[in-house]
Amino acid sequence: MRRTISFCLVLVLELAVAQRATAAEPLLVNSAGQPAVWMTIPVPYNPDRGTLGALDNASARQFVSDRFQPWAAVPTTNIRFTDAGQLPTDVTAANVGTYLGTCGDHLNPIIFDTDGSIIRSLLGVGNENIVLGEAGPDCATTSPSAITEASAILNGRFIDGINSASNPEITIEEFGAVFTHEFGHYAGLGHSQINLTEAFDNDSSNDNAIATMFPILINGTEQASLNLDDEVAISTLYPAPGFFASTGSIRGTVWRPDGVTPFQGAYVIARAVTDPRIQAVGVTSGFLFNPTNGVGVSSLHGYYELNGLTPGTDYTLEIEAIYPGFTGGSGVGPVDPPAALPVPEFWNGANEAATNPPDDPTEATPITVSAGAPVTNVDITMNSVSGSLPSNDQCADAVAIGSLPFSATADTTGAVESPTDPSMSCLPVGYPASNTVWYALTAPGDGVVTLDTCGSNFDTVIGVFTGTCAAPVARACNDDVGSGDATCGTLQSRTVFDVSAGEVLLIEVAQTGPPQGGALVFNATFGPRSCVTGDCLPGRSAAASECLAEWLISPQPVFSGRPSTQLTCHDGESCDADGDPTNHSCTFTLALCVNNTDPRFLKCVPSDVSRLDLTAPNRNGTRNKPEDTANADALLAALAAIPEGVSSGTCTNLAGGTSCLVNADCNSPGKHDGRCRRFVAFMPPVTTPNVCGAPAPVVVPLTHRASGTYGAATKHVRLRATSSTRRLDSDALTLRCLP
Amino acid sequence: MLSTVGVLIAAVTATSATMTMQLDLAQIVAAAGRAFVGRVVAVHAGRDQAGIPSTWVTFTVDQVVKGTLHGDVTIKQFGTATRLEDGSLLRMPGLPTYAVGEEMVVFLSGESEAGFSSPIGLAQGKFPIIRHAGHAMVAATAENARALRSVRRLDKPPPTTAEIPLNDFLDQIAQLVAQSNRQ
Repeated sequence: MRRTISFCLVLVLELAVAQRATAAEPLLVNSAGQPAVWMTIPVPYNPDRGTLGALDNASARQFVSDRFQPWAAVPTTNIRFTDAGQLPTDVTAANVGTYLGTCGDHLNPIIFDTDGSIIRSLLGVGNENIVLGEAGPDCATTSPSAITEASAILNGRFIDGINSASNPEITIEEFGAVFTHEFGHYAGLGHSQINLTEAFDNDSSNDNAIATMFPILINGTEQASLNLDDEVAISTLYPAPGFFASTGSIRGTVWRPDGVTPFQGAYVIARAVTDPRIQAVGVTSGFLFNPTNGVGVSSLHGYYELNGLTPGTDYTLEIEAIYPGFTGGSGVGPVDPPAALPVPEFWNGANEAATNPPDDPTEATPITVSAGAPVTNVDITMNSVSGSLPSNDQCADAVAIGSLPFSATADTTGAVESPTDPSMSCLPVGYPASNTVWYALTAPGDGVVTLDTCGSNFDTVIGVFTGTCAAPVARACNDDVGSGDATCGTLQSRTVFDVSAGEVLLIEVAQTGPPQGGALVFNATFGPRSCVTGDCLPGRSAAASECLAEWLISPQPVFSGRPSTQLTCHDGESCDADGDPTNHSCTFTLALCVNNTDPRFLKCVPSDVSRLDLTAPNRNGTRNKPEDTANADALLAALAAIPEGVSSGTCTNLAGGTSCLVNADCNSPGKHDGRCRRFVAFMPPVTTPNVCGAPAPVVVPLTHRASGTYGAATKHVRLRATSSTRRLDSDALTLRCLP
Repeated sequence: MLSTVGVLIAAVTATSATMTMQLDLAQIVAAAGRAFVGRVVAVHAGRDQAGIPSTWVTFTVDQVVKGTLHGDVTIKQFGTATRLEDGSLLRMPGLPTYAVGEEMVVFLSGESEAGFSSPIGLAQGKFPIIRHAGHAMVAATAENARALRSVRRLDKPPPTTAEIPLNDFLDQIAQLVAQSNRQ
């Protein structure tokens, strides 16, 4: 079984806007497109004074020197490394903070964590058996674009000669391959994706094609030695005299199918026709393009250059997508998550175009290179695959939804993800969305919009944005409806959200994952507000019955986390429906919704509601103020008007001893000591989900003090919803009016 | 202590790399000192008593998956994701970041003598929870994709797996915890 070790590239210590451009290409690039390199040659490093696992200090220092050596030994580079003297002390968990991440001390510490105790101290107990170490530049300047200091920690626990579950071991060759790779980062190199197929084919016989700077250690023996791609990368950053004059180069730009928009993040590979696996060099399009605050060198947008090619040799040129799993610290290229390509393809000379014919993506036109004479303007226009490019491929060309309900179908196999397409907030970081198409909707009123892709034949995701195409703001998102909705499709999408009249929405519909697309079915509906968006006040009850009845408030209050059971409003503010700041009273607007599929209450499955008891305000309470009776009447009328089932208002005696025989009893304040209360029964029970009654005004007058001033006042609303199976949802709500 | 940076070099940036063994879910479960389903309720960055830039993350625990926990959990994680008031930023490669309100299943290392703790395998030990139409799902990230692939019922191709139901994930973990306890 192969062990897998990942190299994780992340910023360690950052004092300015970071710029990263990985591949066998510069690790850091400034906004002018200049790679960050060491200005000091030989590049210094300061080894620790202690041991490294089973290695004594001298052996450990030799190990480090040996791991730098492959880079310095490349004949076409002038980079060299030097042991600039040991650190002042043996670094341990107790003093590591003195050395790690310190700029300006002119030290480049190579820390020997001999038993993993430094890793354990910094990352917690257990991680010393998992983290092999870290290495890379610590400090750099953007003008000039230079690396000034770097560091490394080597975890000697992996080479201490003890191999057990609590102290794992790897071979010294694997450990060496890891740090040859890491010292490539130390020198300023990023990752390479050259020969992705060979890396992932589980065939060790062809692993000599995998670069040392591949993001994952596939073969410790093979990756301990540099391949051509590594050699060209280090030579391009640190060229020996005559490197560019004695080798060939191919340069150009990758364009989207429209032929005018540069494409960032395609992996461009030149392969010698006679030895395509080994004589191969790659780089990511746009690897030097690093705009700061939106400003960059436009000529570097989508630009690539492949150096170090053998003069007089024919090369094919191709593009492929960066592997979707190469994200974050494993990233390759300037685009993270990796950009999706419609289809891998070769450069096809005079036939190069966005369509086939004339551009067969499998057909290559060789390019002959010459020493010191770059072949320029070798531009690749991406093919738009099998389907045609949908008219709404770009946000700016979104299909306007005129009226609701709306339904559309589209073939999205020809759609492509644009670099300007915003990421989907419901997808995990680094997970790609592809084959994007766009719709636009202006909300016809206050209510709920439901968007879905039910019936589509591929894995979809829907993202909804406000703002503009240039500056979209995430509004809603859904990837999969999940297995609980077989009628839609597990991998299809549905998002439901509140809208305000006139709100403009930009809707991005995409393939979840790498490019594929398919037959898209897109539906949009509009309805009145309900609790399906999770914005109601549930009143707090048992988790299994919380969704039976909830209060829908107008206007929608702002909640942070789980809403409380209290609504507070200042007289005359927007929450006060009467809008009058001088009437010393707040009017709350409440509607009751039953059988709610509220996404917050997963344990509550809506069934039915057969009865609603309004226990406060009491229609005939003995101490009722006029507004209490009016509030009760308004609420009861709203409950009875729930548009499902046949409702009947009747009368009950909560004390049980005395009957309330006629409605007049319930309508008479003080009758039976206020114990007769009205309820609403539904026959048959309400079974339709997400049914809401009419909004009811509930008035809370401020307290009129003896001094003539007005103070805060509170009213309570209590309701019990009962199902035909006697599930009970007891909801309490406190309405508080403030001056 | 880690010295303050930012005053010595005008425009400095830095990059580094971490090397980690890639773990499957069983290895993560076995190595974790404690694990739980929780929600981030507070994130605070600063320097600890030794002066090391650190991030304190507080979770409310919804369900204990491994170990014994009482009430909220606060960890001190090495480094910071955002710049401190003194301008310094020490970001350890591969360590996860956190946002208030974020839900996750997290497998934590034991606390070191210096008081640090972080997910096992760094970001490999953090499994974000997302909700789709009321269904709680565990989301794949670049770092945890290998571990998620080792969970049964995963129906999407590696390594860009999307998500699996939280309940399936927790069932699998319960079995692995029981298996780990027997060993």
